Amino acid sequence: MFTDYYLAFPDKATADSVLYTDTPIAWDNTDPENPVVTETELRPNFRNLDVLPLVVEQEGQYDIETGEELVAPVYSPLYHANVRALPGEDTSALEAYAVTPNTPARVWA
Amino acid sequence: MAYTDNFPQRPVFQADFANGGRIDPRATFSRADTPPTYAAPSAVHFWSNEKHLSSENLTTNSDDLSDWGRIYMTRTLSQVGPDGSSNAAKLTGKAGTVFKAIYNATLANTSAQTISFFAKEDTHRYIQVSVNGDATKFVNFDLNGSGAYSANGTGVTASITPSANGFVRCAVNLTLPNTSAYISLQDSLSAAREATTASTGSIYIFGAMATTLGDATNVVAYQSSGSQISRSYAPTLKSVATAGQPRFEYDPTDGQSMGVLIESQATNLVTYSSDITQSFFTGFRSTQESNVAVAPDGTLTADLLREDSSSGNSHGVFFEYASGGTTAQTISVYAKAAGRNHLSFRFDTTNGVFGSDFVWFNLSTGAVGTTDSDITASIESCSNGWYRCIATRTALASANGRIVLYLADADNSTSYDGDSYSGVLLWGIQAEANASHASSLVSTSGASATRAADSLSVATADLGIASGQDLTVIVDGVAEQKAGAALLGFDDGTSSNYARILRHSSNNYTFDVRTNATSQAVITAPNSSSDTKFAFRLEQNNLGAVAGGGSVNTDTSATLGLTNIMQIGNAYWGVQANGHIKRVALYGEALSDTNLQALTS
Repeated sequence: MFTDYYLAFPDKATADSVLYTDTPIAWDNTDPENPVVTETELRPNFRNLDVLPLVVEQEGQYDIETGEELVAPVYSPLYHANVRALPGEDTSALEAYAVTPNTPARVWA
Repeated sequence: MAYTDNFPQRPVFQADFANGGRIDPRATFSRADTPPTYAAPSAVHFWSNEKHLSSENLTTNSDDLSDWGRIYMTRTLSQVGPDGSSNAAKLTGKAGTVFKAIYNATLANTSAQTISFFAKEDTHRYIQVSVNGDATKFVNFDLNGSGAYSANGTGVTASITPSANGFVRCAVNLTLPNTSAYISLQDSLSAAREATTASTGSIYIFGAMATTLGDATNVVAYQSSGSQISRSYAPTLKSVATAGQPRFEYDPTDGQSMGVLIESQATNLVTYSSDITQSFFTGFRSTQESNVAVAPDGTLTADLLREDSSSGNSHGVFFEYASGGTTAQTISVYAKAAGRNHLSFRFDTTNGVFGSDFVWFNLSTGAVGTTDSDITASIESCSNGWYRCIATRTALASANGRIVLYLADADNSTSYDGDSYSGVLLWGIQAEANASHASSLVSTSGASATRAADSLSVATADLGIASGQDLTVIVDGVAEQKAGAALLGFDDGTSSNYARILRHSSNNYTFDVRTNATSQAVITAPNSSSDTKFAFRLEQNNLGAVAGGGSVNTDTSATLGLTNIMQIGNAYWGVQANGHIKRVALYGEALSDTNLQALTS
């Protein structure tokens, strides 16, 4: 079975540090005994990771005829992501950022 | 290992997903679905081999009721109906104080059903629906103005709603005894059942329908019938019954088995995928009617987008969603003509996300019409008049983008005179950011939702395959035309050792091998957008690859790495196929070029 986490981070950098691992993908093997990492990429730490776009806290209002924005929407300043953690995945780093939204902006199907 | 041209040994692993319809117990399939319940079915869908009743009209000649029996009534055909056609009829009472009615025996049915029709007051105001054989059940209707009704009898419900051209739509839901139903002229809203009248006045009538679908509250959109009753069944786009259920799909157009569907994670950013009456959608010069037709999933959840009577203007509905970046955005909508045969999408300029680009879909012929150059569009038949309309366009900004769905009177036109009657049925609206193709429907109700990725793999040790052993794999399937979409791959769980069959955005399939973090070979296969059999031979300094029985491309300088897992519809450093895998066969030996060709032809 899995465990769902709704996560709210203060910023993207914090989220990346928790959700991803910088993984070497290429090496300079000129010295086979001491290969040098030449390229890395961010690999998600969880198989089911869903990063949300801006989360609307208050909907905007629009003119029905023209589509013109009458009242701008208000967005959450936080960086949101959802994780559906599978057995065996280490979720200890998630706990500090877990939230329990009354109406989640996004759910898992 | 030496090999011959003799017919190869039996494969050590053979999975026929197309015909077997099951996962080999040595393989592992998973997808982290939310467990469905009766009250909340899964949001994950697939095309099943089951069928459902998609539409039904148990009356005949339903437009003008020209074959209905008459009792002291005259009938004049070719009258203007609510749809603006000349297919309505005028019914006039003959002289005399008698029961005056029309009737239809084909309505006879012992199950609950809804009788509906469009009627308009001419020189007569009140009518009644009654059933022969049950003296307690009847409904009187007042056709004046926006209408009124009086229902009588246990379990009888009714409704009356304004329509176009002065018509109202009358509906009665009841359990019919095994006999006929009557529509009669009456003198008041409180008239007794099948009362006599001296009226020689007239009413207009159009579009009669009797159906076991819907009820008096959710009156099913009108479905015309000819000299025979109309009853159509359609393939069912089912939601999975259990969490993580593999999806063996069948083509909704011909019923052919397509194999197991392997998709990447996908999000539907539309928060109410099948309810355009929610505030997520904003209508303009239109009305939105909820749950008026059977949707592709077999439920009465399709909505009607109906134009108003505004002249020389557009009619439709729009919604907004976060584009999430300057990436490809794919919009998909299941649609069926309901008076209007054309539907248009507009990628609107709001917030600078798009550039005001249009595409038209013909819901009568199932063809994509005029398409602005920044859009890639397609249309897929789902049977019984339903189509999935798909359009992809790259966002120009990361902001809330607006998608407008227009009713259209013709290709390349969105401005016309509305008739308050015509529209298009809509269901399963999906917006996907960072997606160049429409994935299977993720239904939503209140929040955007993400379907987890499919995963199908086999530990090769469980097949008796040693790590690094010579292999030949045959795979029959198709992957999305996208960078890194994988049909199949072997790896050791790291980026150091793998062998893969990938499709690319350039439409090429390639076979590549990486050993000890060093690329060994990349072999290009012929282009193929449809499902094709591929074979890949993994042997030290003798790689071989072939597609569809063609020529074998080889590489004679390659070292094989140690791998221990075979991923089906995916690969290390690849992405899910977003397509179907029909069959996989794995041989624990290197097969000859001749055999590779024979096994893929």
